[in-house]
Amino acid sequence: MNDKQENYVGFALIIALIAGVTIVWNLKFDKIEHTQLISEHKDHKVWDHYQDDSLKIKKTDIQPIENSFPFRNISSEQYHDRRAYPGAPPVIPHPLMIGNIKLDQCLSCHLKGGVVPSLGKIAPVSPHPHFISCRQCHVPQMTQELFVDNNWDKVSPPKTDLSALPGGPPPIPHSLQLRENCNSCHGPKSSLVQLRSPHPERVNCRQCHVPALVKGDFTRKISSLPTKNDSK
Amino acid sequence: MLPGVTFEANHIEAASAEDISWNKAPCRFCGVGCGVLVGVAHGKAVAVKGDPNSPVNKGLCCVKGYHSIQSIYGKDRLTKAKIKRDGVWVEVEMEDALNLVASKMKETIEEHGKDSVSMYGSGQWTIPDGYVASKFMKGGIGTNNLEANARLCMASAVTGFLTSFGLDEPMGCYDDINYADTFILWGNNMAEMHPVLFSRLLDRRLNDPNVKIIDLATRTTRTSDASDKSLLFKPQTDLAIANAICYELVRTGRVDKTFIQKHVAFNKGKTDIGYGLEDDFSFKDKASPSNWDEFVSFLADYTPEKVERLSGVKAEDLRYLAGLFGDRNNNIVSFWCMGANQHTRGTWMNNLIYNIHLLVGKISKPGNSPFSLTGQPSACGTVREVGTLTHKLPKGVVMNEEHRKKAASIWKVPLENISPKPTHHTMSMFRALDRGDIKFMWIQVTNPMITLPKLTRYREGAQKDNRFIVVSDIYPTPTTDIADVILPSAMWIEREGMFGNSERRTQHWDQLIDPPGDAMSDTLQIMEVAKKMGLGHLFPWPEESHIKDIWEEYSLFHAGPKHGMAPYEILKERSGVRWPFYNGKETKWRYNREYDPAAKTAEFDFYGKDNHKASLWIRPYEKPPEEPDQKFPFWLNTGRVIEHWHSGSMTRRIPTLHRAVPHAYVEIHPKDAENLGLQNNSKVKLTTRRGEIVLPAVIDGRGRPTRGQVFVPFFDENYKINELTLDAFCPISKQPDYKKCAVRIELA
Repeated sequence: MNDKQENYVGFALIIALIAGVTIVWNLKFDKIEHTQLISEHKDHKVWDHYQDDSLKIKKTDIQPIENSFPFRNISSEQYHDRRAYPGAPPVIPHPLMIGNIKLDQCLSCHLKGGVVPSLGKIAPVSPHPHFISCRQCHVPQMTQELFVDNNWDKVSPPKTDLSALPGGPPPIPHSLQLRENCNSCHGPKSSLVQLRSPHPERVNCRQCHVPALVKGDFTRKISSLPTKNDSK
Repeated sequence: MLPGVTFEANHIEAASAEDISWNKAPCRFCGVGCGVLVGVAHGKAVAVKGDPNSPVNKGLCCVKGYHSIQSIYGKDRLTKAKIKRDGVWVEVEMEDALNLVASKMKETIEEHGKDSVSMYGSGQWTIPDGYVASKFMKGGIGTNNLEANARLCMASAVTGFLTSFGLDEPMGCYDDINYADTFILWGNNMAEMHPVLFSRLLDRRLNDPNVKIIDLATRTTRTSDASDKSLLFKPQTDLAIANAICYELVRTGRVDKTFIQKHVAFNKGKTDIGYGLEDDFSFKDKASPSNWDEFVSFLADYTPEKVERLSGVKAEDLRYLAGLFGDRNNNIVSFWCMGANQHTRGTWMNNLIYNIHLLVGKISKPGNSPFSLTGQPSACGTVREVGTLTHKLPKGVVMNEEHRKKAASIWKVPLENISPKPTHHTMSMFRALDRGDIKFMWIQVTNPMITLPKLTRYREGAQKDNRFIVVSDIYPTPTTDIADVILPSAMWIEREGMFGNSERRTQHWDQLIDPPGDAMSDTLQIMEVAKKMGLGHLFPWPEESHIKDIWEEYSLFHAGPKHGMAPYEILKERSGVRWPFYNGKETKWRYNREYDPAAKTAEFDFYGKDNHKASLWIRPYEKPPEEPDQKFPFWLNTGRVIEHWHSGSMTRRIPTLHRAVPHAYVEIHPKDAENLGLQNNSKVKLTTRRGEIVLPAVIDGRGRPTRGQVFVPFFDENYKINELTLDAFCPISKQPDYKKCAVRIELA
């Protein structure tokens, strides 16, 4: 990255920060602004699962952001510890900045994602920003202690090296429900480095990667058309 | 790692996602009734997805639903039956424990009569649990001592429906959300209590910016934050607000006169009806006919200016609300739940919301619906439809001879077996246990030693000599603590069952995993005890098919276009089916001839009433039984948080949920906190006329009470807030009011 690009990134981040602060400020004090934030993604057909959001990615979404700010990468264990099982809604791993935050205030960072300097972390992009009641599913953890121990058996995360052919594109090993936007976890702003795609500029992910959710191979079912039997 | 961290999950190796098998079930928690897909691998539940085929939630859950399966695996799960002997728990074989329950029940009946034994269940009973409980108690033993905790959460909704329409449960369905322009939430924190439905409201608004959500509440909640307008009113004054809306609709002539003339009858009932605080309290409402003119002159007391002074809601906002209802092009849905139901005038409050919708004819039409939400997963399916309440039968009431005859013929019991006299509603039942009129109580799927108001009296009463308490549950709770026998239950997907949700949707699930140890379903527990008491002939079904057999017998009660239930095979196949299910079709809007095959007489046919008209009730504002005064200057309000279900016996064993809200607290207004010298986490002493408790304070938390009010969630067994609440109830529904009593606040 040359100096010019660095300046550009820095400038963009400052603009984003100002915009973020403005949104937060307005959310706190003005109901009308609040609905504007919502209307930003109102065309989105909500509850229309399995649609390929990755095609809507803009150039800025896939700019690499490494090294523009110092931040901590999390480990694979930390990533999975935040989920009760693979596919469970992750808990909120950072302190919430204001006591009573608005319903969809999380989106001021998680709508576009990127580095959050105050936390020294990357905010991953929400794969379902059209669901704005964030804490319906994502909750912070106020303690590490338990009320009573639990005999929970956790399924291991899905294996990722399932390519059928050497060098072939691996299939998608998990459900796409509520995770239609591949870019959220596999784009450059993914919170887990290991999950980032080596080619984020190729935005039509499912051109090459297809879900592998059904067990077994193709078997032909008996045709519903009756077969004539002349010997009768 | 921090001290106290002991939770380390074992890992099940799954080669890939395809090793997990997915099966449908309704969510175990609230009354929304989301469809979930439970992933099972190696005989254990390992993952949850929202069921995309369920029209309720279309693939989305809330944090409780996603983590629900972890509630199965708490380390202290009850797996063996226990009997209390000389103050010590002794683990015994299930057979011995069931024998003891049967013999004790029999003995008590012989000695003290059949009304000395009782059963107390819940809206978390499956439909088969409730059905066998009703058949056992009412058809077999012959006592009406059968109640359920749903009395504490939706009795006012039932009496509201019955007085206004003659039939229970909503006329509309969740599809109304897709067609409504305005949602009015009456004291209902949907964002936390009915989260997935609330997401559907938000979704509706995202797709159409003209859609408005109006929050009417006594404190500011997440729902208020998300609403377009939040109106805060003083506790109890919702009665006056509803009447002010009617006043304004009449004054501006924005009523649907044709609809009223054709479909509405005017009624009035008794006033100054008391609060049920006395043990010998009894009340029976008397309906007398009224008319338009009397209604209009009654409303004169409820001008927006007068109601502003009483409620604190500005007159212009009351006019604005009336404007929303009065606008003919504005489809409007009212939602309410505990705010209106847990109310000493709960029945009236339900009637008043119907009054508004009837005045403008906004009812039984897509997008126009007064919609009573339910708290528990099967409060509708089990308690209301099966009728596990003292006065109810699976169809109708015990007081009606025709209804008794029908039950006797389906149950194949002599008509005399079914007693025509209701005995005790829930509060009265626990008072009778305290007095000693009831000596035996069997409690299933509920935790009354957390949830009863004025708890100390009822806990002490239940522990008196010569009381015998049986508790069927899955974990140790304050209720199992006072039991003489504990029976380990199979929960949710460890057995086959059905729930019925708020929108009349019946949802079936198969047994997906094995119950631990000796745990047995509540249905089988009841049938086993019945057999041991010589009532086996009432339950002739083999274990392999008993749920199907029960469903088929139960369906006989409801056959027909008004309440027909879907056949077992269809329930098994689909992600829920709404009743009335008739000629292979679900009825989405009842009483509307276009959609409801039972509606015949006119465009709208309120066939629950003999005159085929809906009743508009003249119901005034009346004061609550206890108000803040010099000695106890604050209002105390109680309720839930999104993370915890009811008394927390399940959700507190779910790591993610417990860690999110590890204990109860008291929410207090910043100004009040400042005056009292309190800060966040200060220890605060709350005192009412019934008890005291010390809790940490939360200022500016997720909920913000108005000045002069505090709020405490009730899930925490270490902070039993119900030791402080008042056991006053709605005289018509007998449902207690957990939302209002007077409290003193001090720095502890």
